[in-house]
Parts: sequence; structure tokens; C-alpha cells
Amino acid sequence: MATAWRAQDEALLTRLEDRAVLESVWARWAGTTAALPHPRAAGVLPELRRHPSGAEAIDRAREGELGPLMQLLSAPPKEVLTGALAHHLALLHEQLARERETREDASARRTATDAWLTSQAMWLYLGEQRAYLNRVGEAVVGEALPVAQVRRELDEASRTTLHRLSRRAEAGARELTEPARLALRALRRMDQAAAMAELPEEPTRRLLVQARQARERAIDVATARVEAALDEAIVADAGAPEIAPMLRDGAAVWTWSERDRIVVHMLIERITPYLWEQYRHKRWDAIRAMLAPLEEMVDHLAHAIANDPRQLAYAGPCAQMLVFRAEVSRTLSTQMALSERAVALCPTHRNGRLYLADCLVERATNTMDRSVFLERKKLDQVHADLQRAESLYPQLKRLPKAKERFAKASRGRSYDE
Amino acid sequence: MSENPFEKWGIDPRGGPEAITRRMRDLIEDATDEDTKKSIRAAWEELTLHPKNRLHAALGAHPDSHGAAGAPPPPPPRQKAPPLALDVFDLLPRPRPSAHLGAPEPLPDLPPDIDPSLQ
Repeated sequence: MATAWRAQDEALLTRLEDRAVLESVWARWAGTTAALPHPRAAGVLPELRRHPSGAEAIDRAREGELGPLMQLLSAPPKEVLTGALAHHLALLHEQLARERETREDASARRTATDAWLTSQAMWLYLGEQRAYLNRVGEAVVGEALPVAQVRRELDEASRTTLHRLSRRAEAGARELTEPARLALRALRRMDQAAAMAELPEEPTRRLLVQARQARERAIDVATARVEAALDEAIVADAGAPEIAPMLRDGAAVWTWSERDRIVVHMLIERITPYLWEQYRHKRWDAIRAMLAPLEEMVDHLAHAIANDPRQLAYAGPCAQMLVFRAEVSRTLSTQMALSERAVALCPTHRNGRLYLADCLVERATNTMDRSVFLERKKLDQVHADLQRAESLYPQLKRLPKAKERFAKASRGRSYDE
Repeated sequence: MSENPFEKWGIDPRGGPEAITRRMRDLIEDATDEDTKKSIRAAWEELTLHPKNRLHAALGAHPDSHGAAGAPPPPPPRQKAPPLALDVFDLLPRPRPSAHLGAPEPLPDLPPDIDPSLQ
């Protein structure tokens, strides 16, 4: 008697073939040693098959050409997405992110961010579309929970990845772990998830605010230890050899946080009063030792302030750090360059203007010192320096004498006063 | 093995507490040691007595899209029945009929007309 090929047999064969295709894709995505997704994850393929481009990509994948299928699974166009497909992809990409985070190679680990963001994009799509989540809610809990509570739980589901990233970032913040760093990285790029999900403007704004708050909470945990140590050391009037390593720890937090300005703000706020104290006692070496770990951070912050008016509140404190650096520099050219930067960053900064004015008078005086008779070009330069110094800080004590000297040196030449 | 209870124990989340109980009962019948039975009972409680946890676990489990060939199965129709009162006794294996027939051995597989027990 001939055996009939039943619909159940066809269904089983399809299921097994789909599983094999997904395993091939997974091996390319996550590596051959990565734990496989649950067999039900292969359900992503019957969902994709509902659309002609999905069916074609799966057929090509069965013949060994995985590219088109991988592209669809990584960035599914909206016309291909179904609720169940988005659900599968949300879970698959989260698993992929966790696998990639464990890779030895740093550039491979960074690709975990893309997977996290794709997962979040799928949850956002489900949250916006809502019908699928509502069906799941009804089928799974029915009337066992009040309607309002189910609605809240499903609202939260659309932020699933964000909540997970937030917990991972905080959990590893104290030790500056790699998974926490990668979570922070993904939180910073939540706009990409919103764009992928084509989220409207207002939900995008709320999402980015939540992501920013999650980053800040994690960074607060990371800086807490450094903050407490600095506070204690400063109160105890510890010296630079004790404080400089704490500032280096702070620099490590800054690098871990992907150069978040919160860290620099905290360090500048903590160290500035202490630097003033050292300044009053003319402890230039101590100031140099403490400024060294902060140099890259201050430069980065200064650049950010110059390009983003929303950060103007920190222009003054950042300018002061540049002035400290100028004051302990060993050459006039470096002192001038740094004080120019301070004044450019914060044009009303009193110390910056004072110090730059002083440098200009110093340069003018040095020029006049070099020769009794100055050529026109040199006189012009001295005149310009003294004029600028007066415009920056007219009360500068050295200025009247320098001007008097210039008047003698330039006798017979006309210079407007 | 997946940590998600629906995936770990092979349950469709959309079947609700009844499907969970049916599946867990089957698993307990097949379990050979006390530790496994305990973990099955604990999973059953977690999923049936805590609807919020059930929902979270369902959202964390891949849907069964292969249920019908070429298309995902439709979700079960929403029931307006009163809440099901389940307790741990629902997990107990159902009694076997042979235990009540008093037969010391399994019944022979014979047609009725020559079965001596029916003569």
C-alpha cells in the first residue's frame, strides 16, 4: 500500500528546513559556537514567507545564498513586518546582542549595539501597532488582570530593550564592565531604534528622554566612587600624589561612558576649588600633576561647548581650567594659545581676559626689549598687542607703563590713541 | 536550554492556564525524580497563579508560527468564563483505568467473541 504524503508531513518538513536555514543565518551572525536560538525562533521564516520578497529570500537562502535573507532579518521593511515577525525579531536580536557582547574582538563586540537597537525597534513597532500585543494579552491573561493593568504592562513591553539596557548599565557601572559600557552605547543611540520603527515625534522624544535618564543613572553609579574619594581627599587636604590617581580613575569613567560630559562636569566642579587653593600657595607642580589627567576631557568639553549652545552653562568652568593650564605652562606661546582659547570659549571670563591681556603686554614688552630702534612692522605688532590688552582688561597694572614705553619707542610715528 | 518557562517546557503561551496545566501534568507523569517534579510544580505555580508573570514570560517567548503550514495559528477565542480555580492537585496524574479493574496483569488483546473474560 502506498504511503500518502500528508499535510502534517509537509508542515514538519517545512519546520525542519526552516530551522536549518535559521541555523545557517545564526552561524553567520553569531558565530558557529554561539548557543542556538530556541527551535520556535525559526517561526520567523513562515512570517517572512507571507511577503513575496520574504519568500524569495528564503528560497535563495535554501540554495546557500544567505545575503538577502540576512538583510531582511536585520532591517525588515515595514511592508514585510507582521506582529509575530516583529516579536520573533525582537527576541532574536536580543539574543544576538548578548552573544556578540562576549566576543574577544572589540570591533565584533561593538556590533552588539546594532542588535540591541534592532530589538528595541521591533518592540517599538509592536507598541505602536498594538493589535498583536493586545491579542497576546487577551490570550495569555484574559480577564485574570484588570484591563488597565494589562494596558500598562503592554505599554512597558514596547520599552523592553531599553529597560534591560538600563539595568545592565547600572549593574556594571561600579566596575565599569564591558556589557555595561555596551549598554550605555546602545542607550545613547536610541534615536536609531526610533527611526527604524518610524516612531512619531512625541513618542521618540519621550523614548530619548528615558534613554538619557537611564544613562545618567548608570553614570552616577560609576562616578559615585570617584566623587566620594575626591571629596574625602580634598577635605583631608591630601596632596597631588593622592588626588591625581583619583582624577585618572575619573578619566577611566569618562572613557567608559563614551566621553559623557556629566563626568567632566563632576570632576571640574570637585577639583576647581582645590586648584585655587594650590594656586594661592603657588604650588605649580601640584597643579600641573592634577591638570594632566583632565587635559583630554577639558579639550573635548571645550570643543563640545563651542559647537552646542545648550552647553554654555559650562563655558566658564571649562575656561577656568584652560586658564589654570595656561598659568602653569612654560612658554609664552603656549600660555597665549590657551588663554586665547579660554576667551574664545567664554568672552566674559574675567580671569581669561586678565591673563590674555597680561600675555599680550608680556609679548609687547619682550619685543620692545629686543631692540631700541624697532622697524615699523614690529611697532605695529606692539601697538596691536597693547590695544587689545586694553580692550580685554583696561585695569591691568602693567599696561600704563608698557604704553608709556611704547610712546617713547614710537616717537615720530603716528598711532591713533 | 531556554530559561523562558514556555520555551523550556514546550508550552504555547496563548493556550492560557489550562494548556499550561495539561502540559505540566504530562511532564510530571513522565518525570523520574523528585527534583524535576518540584521544578515543574514551581513553574506551574509561577505561570498559573501569577498572571502578570505569565504575561511577561509570554512576551519573552517566541510565538509558535509553524503551528499551521504557511501561516501562524489564530489565537484561541477569548473566553468569558469565570476565573479558573486551579490548585496543585490539578497537577496530580489522573488514575489509570487498569488500577480499578483488579486485573493483576494487562488485559489480553483479543477479539470479544473469544475473550475468556467476556464468556
